[in-house]
Amino acid sequence: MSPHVGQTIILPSRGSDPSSNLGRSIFTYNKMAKKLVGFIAYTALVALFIILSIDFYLSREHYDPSIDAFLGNSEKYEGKYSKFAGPVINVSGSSFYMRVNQRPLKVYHANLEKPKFGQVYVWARLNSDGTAEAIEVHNFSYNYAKYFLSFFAFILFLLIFFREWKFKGWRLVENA
Amino acid sequence: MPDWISHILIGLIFAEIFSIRKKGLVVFGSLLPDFAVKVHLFGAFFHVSDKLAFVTQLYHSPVMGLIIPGLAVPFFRYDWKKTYLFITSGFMLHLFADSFTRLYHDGILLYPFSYGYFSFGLLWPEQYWIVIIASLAVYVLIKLAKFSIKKFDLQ
Repeated sequence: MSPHVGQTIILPSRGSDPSSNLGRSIFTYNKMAKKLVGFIAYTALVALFIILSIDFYLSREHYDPSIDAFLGNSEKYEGKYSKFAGPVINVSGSSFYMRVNQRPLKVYHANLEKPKFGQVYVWARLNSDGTAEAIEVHNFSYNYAKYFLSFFAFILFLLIFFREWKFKGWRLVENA
Repeated sequence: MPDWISHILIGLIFAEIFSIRKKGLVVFGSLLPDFAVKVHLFGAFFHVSDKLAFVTQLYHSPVMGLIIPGLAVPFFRYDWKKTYLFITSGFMLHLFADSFTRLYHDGILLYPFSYGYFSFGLLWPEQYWIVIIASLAVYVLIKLAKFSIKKFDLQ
């Protein structure tokens, strides 16, 4: 009778027991069974990751429209609200132009002070003519410095991480 | 959201408090949520699909904090339970740190049970320096305390 997964097996010693080949086979069987369980669990996790990503993608209607979607069909999104950020292109008395994901957008807001070395954050009501009426505006001045710092932080991360780990094939093993 | 130096420091603080030897795993977990989400930053240079940018927001949620570390575990030849626990801890710490910042994309706390965003809304993104100073101070204090205890034990 073949052993079932998880069954405790006492391995016979190689030299003294003539059935040591059987013991080794059972050991290999258990090892393979463990690998199979691991493979199934990992596949289930990947499937869950994909299913949730698709479900979230399909739930976009529950969230504020993106500026891409709005500029593609501004009449559809008239009266809706959206939050976005981007660099300011130019400022006039009652409005300003900003760039959101490489697309220019006119936002109505009086006397904006242009942010220094950063973006402007806007929470706005969307108009049918492809413009937006700002409800809240905030300058992320000097916020770009954060990305420079984060670049150096990434180098720091690599130093911390690879002090402990090294690649061996496609896996990471402890750095002795 | 805080910068990556703060996220690394917060991960290191956690590793010091719980005496985790594999600090690299916690630090890896503490940056992991940003690896996909930062795709929206490319929008500064060229157009990024808004659909792609939208989906990546999900990778900043606690449910993904349980799934993504599980996907990373087989890449480490180490005790899988510890690997999972350390990476997940770092991931959750990242989400916790981010939840103090007011953003246009706040964390999606209860997905898939709720689509709502969540943030304590205490700081604006450009106030990241407050988090750096605070986390650096805490880290230095912990290191000093540990050093003092070690010195005291030796005497």
